[in-house]
Amino acid sequence: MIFSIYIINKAGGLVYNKDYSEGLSKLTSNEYLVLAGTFHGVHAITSKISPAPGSSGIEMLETDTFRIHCFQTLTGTKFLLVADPQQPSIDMILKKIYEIYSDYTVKNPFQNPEMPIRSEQFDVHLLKMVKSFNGLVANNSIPYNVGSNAGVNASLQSQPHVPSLQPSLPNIASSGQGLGF
Amino acid sequence: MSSSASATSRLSVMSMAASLPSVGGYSSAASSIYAKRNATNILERHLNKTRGAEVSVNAFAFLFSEMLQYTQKRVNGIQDLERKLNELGYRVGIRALDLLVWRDKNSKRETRVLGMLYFIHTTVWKTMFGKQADSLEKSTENEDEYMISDNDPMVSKFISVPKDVSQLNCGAFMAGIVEAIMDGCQFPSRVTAHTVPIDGFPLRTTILIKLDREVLDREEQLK
Repeated sequence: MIFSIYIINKAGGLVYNKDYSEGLSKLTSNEYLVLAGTFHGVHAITSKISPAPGSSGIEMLETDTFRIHCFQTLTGTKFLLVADPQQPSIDMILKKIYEIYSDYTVKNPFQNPEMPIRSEQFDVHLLKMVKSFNGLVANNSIPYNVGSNAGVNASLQSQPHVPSLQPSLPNIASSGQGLGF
Repeated sequence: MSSSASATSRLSVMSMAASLPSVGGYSSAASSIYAKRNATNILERHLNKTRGAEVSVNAFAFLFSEMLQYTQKRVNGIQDLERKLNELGYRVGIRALDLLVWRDKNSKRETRVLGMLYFIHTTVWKTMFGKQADSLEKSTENEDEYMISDNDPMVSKFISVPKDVSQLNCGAFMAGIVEAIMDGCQFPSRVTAHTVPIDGFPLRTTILIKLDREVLDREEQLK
């Protein structure tokens, strides 16, 4: 499950934030900015204090209920993805966000670089992408949740779910194609 | 070995400085390298070879984005911006027409309006945007108006027009191309672009072609 997506510019300012899940605790717009600035700072510090030279900086923060994944582009823009700890194919999602970002904001003449993102097509395509991933996870995560507290019966139940993974795989491919060119 | 290598390097310097059509007196190894250089030089390439000579959509998108930003700084208002975009398109169209007529070996000069519009709808669109336009219609209200529509115009594929300039249609560039081609074929007309969204195609753009009086009069005589 993808909860939120934030985009931080190279100066540490929040240029985009969007929540994709119901029932998340609400943050004020100021808190979002503080979160972005803090993460930016921590990211810089982690890459500095690394014992091995040339470290990349923080890539993932983990808690019981969610993970924050970070992907930094060569130009210093950071994409933050708040997702379920069980969320698969994080790398692919982050790449996809980067792709949508470079298509619909970088090539948009009305979008100034490093400024808050206001591109209608960016919103639309990002939402479409998140929906395709969230829809997929909703189907597959059922056996995981049941399996945690319901012993043998549930693990038997999860058995028939294994082949059900197979037909849902082309779903990723087809949704990916639709989003591309 | 060393003499042929120096000949090659001299040759490449020469061909870079002023790509001369023929340089005699060099070894065959050097001349084959010269031929290779030719193959990659856009000015030396044969005009009729289109395979592999397409420009990437992304490269175009970046260029068009820069063109828009440049133009936007030098105009007053949206009308002016559209006019300027139309002019830029005109310069592309007038050259594209030359190329298209040269490439199309069986081409004849169109004398009738419908034939002309069909040429734009199919051949021009296919060469420019890699697909045919989605519809060609005649206005029901005005005798002198025709419409060519593109459901997903390539020029505005990555562009989101902000709310405060929502009347702007970047298809004005395409309109300029069409206007140049109509003009170049002796069908003077006024061409504008309008956003006409339909279900599933929010970016659908209609190119409205308003023919001049003289074209209609001629059409009447040819009937």
